[in-house]
Amino acid sequence: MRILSAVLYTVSIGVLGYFSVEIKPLDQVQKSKATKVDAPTFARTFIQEKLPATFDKAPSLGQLSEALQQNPTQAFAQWSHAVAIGNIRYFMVKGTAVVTAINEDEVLVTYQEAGKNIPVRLATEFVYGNAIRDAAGIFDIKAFTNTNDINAIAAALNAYVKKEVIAPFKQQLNKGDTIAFVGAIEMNQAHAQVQDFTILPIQLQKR
Amino acid sequence: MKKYLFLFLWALLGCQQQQASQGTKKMAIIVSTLNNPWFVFLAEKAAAKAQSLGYETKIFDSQNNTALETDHFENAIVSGYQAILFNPTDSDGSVSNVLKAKDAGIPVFCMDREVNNPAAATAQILSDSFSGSVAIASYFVKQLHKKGKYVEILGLVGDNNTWARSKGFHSVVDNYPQLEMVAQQSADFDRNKAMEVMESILQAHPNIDAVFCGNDAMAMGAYQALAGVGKAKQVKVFGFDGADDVVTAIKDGKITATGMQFPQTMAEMAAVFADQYLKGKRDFAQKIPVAVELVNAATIEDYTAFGKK
Repeated sequence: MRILSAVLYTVSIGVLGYFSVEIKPLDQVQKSKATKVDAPTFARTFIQEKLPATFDKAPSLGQLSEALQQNPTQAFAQWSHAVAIGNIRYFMVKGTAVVTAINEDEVLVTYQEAGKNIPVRLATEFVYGNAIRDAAGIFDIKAFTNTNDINAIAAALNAYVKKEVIAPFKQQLNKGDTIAFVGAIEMNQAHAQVQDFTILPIQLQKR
Repeated sequence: MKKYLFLFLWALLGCQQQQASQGTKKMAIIVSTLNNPWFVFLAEKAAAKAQSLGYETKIFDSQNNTALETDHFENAIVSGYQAILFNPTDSDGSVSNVLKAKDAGIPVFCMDREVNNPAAATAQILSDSFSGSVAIASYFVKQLHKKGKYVEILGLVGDNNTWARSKGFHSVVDNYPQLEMVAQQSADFDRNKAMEVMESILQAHPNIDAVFCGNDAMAMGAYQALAGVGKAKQVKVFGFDGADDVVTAIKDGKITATGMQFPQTMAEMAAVFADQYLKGKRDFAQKIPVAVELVNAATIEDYTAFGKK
């Protein structure tokens, strides 16, 4: 009788345990938190249709550089944007420059304006983060309730630029070429590096 | 008799709640765990800000247990707290607690971690974990020169931040096929568990180049395990939080990088929002991301624990 009770008790605990615990592989848990927005389509429309309308308002790199040195607070207030609150801010800039080196992860150019030469890195490999999404200040976070969607859009924008803008451009690029660019710069407002620019390209043209 | 006793207690409770609403202003601060200095800092800053705005405060420790968290919510509701500043234990499991408070007319403001229901909390002030991990991952890839074997130690699998950090990290690292993840395991954001997990992984994979951890406590645990087998100098350890010991460890060259979160910003904003709500404001953005900054040997002098100098 005691053995039967023990067996029944063990079986009961086993059955209860089986139905009260659900074991899922880690990758399945990750998939359940997937995005719902069609990020690639959103990215294509954003870059081809929405962003070009903001290019006129973007300062030239020379203007931004001058403003950051003269009055950084005003420069950040006037031209920087970011969806998140904090010190990380993004600028949209434009200009023309001469290619000085083509490296594995970046293209080095010299921007020339009003007798000033500004060395600039155009990122061609490490095109990540929110710069392209946020720099123009037109991305509306309130339109999304799912954080995954907001992140997926940033990733899709970067992927689009890398594949559709940078890859074909870099193939035909030579040292000494003059190029026109529009791009996004990330800068930490609390520790702004006003002479050190890395631009994530949005539009590139060989002149 | 039982019925009269119940009515008496109910009336007494009602009087107490009315007294609270007329007299003392109180905010409850419910946090996932006080076994991690980061959350202690978050809770204390929220309490300090609420007190500066004229509220009495009490901090509740959920000990990473949603059942205990439920008890805290019930306690806060019957004790007449007018607002709850909340750091959830589980993005899905904590939703019902928030809805319970909402049904009782008590606004809930989430700090750092979110709940998976846009209609539950009044506002959610969250670290931008995905973007912070993207920044860490870019640095990770550069440090490893795009190749090598690495381990990922995840936080609590039920928490959105765990996956936001993991997904942000992989959104970069997975583009480099010569970077091979040899193991991925959860250590629940806990230092001791991370040490045990790392010790176990090292037995199967003794030759790794890097470890990415979902928080700084786990990064310190992983570092301890690596130091224990004499591999601390060969393996680069990356964390996430900006905790005191990791800031020191980056200065000492023990930890390679972390993502600096700003718990004070989130805690104070939650207290201010709750105060504004209680004074009549209603139009809050549902989610407010707070930027996370990459901290490494080059930028460490700009930072102190849990924030910027």
